[in-house]
Amino acid sequence: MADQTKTVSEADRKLFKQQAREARIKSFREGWYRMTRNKATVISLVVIVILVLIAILAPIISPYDYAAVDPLNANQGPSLAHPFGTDNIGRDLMSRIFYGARYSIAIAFVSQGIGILGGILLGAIAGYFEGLLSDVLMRLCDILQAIPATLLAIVVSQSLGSGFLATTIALSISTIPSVGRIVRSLILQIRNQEFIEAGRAIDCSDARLIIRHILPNIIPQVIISFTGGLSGKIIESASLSYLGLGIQPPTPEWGALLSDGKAYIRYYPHLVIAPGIFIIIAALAFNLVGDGLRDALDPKLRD
Amino acid sequence: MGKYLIKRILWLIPVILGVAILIFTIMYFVPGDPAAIILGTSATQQDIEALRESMGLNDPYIVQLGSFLKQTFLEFDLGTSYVNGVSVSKSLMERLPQTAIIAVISCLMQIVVGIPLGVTAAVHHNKWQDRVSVVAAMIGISIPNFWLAYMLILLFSYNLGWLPAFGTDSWMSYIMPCFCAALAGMANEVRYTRTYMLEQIRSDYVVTARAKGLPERTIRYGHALPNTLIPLITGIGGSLGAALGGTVIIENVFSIPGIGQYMVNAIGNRDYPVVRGGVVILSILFSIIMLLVDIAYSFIDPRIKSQYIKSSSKKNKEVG
Repeated sequence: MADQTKTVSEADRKLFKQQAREARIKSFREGWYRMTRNKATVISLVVIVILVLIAILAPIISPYDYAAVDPLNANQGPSLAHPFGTDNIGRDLMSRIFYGARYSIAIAFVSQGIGILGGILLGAIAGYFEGLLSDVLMRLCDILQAIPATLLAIVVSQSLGSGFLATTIALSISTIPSVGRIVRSLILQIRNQEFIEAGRAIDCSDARLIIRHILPNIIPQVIISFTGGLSGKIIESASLSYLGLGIQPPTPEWGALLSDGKAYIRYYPHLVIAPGIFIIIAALAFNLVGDGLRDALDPKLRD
Repeated sequence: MGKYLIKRILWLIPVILGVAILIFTIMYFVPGDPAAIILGTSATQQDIEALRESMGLNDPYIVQLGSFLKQTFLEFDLGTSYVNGVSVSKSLMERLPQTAIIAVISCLMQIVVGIPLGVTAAVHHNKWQDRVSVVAAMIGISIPNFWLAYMLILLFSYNLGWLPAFGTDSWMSYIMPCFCAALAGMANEVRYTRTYMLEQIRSDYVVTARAKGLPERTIRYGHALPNTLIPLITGIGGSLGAALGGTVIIENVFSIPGIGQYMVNAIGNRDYPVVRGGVVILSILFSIIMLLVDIAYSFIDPRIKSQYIKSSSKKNKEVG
């Protein structure tokens, strides 16, 4: 008798697993289809791929070394030899922008990634465990959110220093509480559904329930939050560099390039215009993909 | 209802206290010795050591934190600047009006421009008005405000000579800063308004209103728009907060002597009391705005109001 129940449950479990996997693949495929029907999203995806390729292939496609100084050709406007011109010590701006894509895009992805992971961790704990721990975490969110995000990033960045990791952490902190709140409210909705109760009934551990059964259900919303925040991170990291925090010149991060060029804006505006346009293109593409993804994945907007 | 309000207001105290502790802790870990910075490069080790002792920098973290909190919240004194010895509260109060002007005007611009554009877009869904507003809003949220500021300075100050590039000499000086601080918020306001308005226009009560022959105008502005107010107020509260943060950068571009510029300079100089004081003051302002938003909710939305009444009466029942 005991044996029989076990074999049945074993077979059932396999079947359920397969069904769940198929359902997940199907919903993602549907989401992908919906997303690719939107022309703006597809074009933006292509733009992002191009930007990432520029970042990866920077050493190959850059016409010059990004740090090569050429005083004879300093402060040149755009020309055939230097499509975006050169800066005050003759470094080729296009090469610097191509290399800068590495920093700017990596910072956006990593800082948003850290913020989202932190938010999931915080939200999952606060949503799953009721009581004191949850309350304390939410009050911590209140405190973090009482400080305007830009200000928080500035202060943390000052405290941690100017490296890549320090900058990404400074940028990620303001993401944690807002994502944490979203994740928590989603988990509060899921927590009381039957399948979680079933999981508890067969003695699943809390960690397993959260990781295997609850988190997969919030993946769409997590993806939406992730892509939705990328453009903000690009702009915020540029703002930090502009204030002289975050990534420092001579590193060719886009914001640092702007900050470098701002002293010469009156006579050599191309030094500020060119990196700015790349920031806008990247932010625009991330925003449009974020919107497209949200429309495709958000269950509320499905018909 | 009143109970909820009191609870909500009292809750501000621990939040502000938490902000103060958090900021103190972050600044505590900022590398660099303020005593060495005050005395400059020519100071001897003994001088620095003596100053550190007199500033209390050699005390353990918890003692320093305690004296900071006591000074700030019991004596309402934010200390004096390390750099020029001027009282921080005084400097902040002198600078607050500049920051407030920019934050409030840019917030008004967001409402006055953002909401009508959003409503127009939703009402003309998928027509050219909608497309133009959506594209404009999309570009608006993708432009870094300080870059836009430089472009405007280039055009209106250097090339056309219409507007001053920096300073606060006349009302003309505020046009560009306010616009730059407002842009992202305006764009967001358009997007929010459009989304919520579309949601409302598609709902059943609008169909009913049409069916009984109400004019389209009444339906839009009398029925649909009021229902979008709740999310819009959240948006406005958030954007006023964002404007407070955004002015930090804008003030630096336009050399406007507001709190933001003061703080950014202070960060560069390791002027801890100024940074702490500035963050605490801005956070208090921000929290008060959010509180007002919460209160405004309950006045506007009868559903939320009734919830509070319901939940409090439930509690009473449980007790009784």
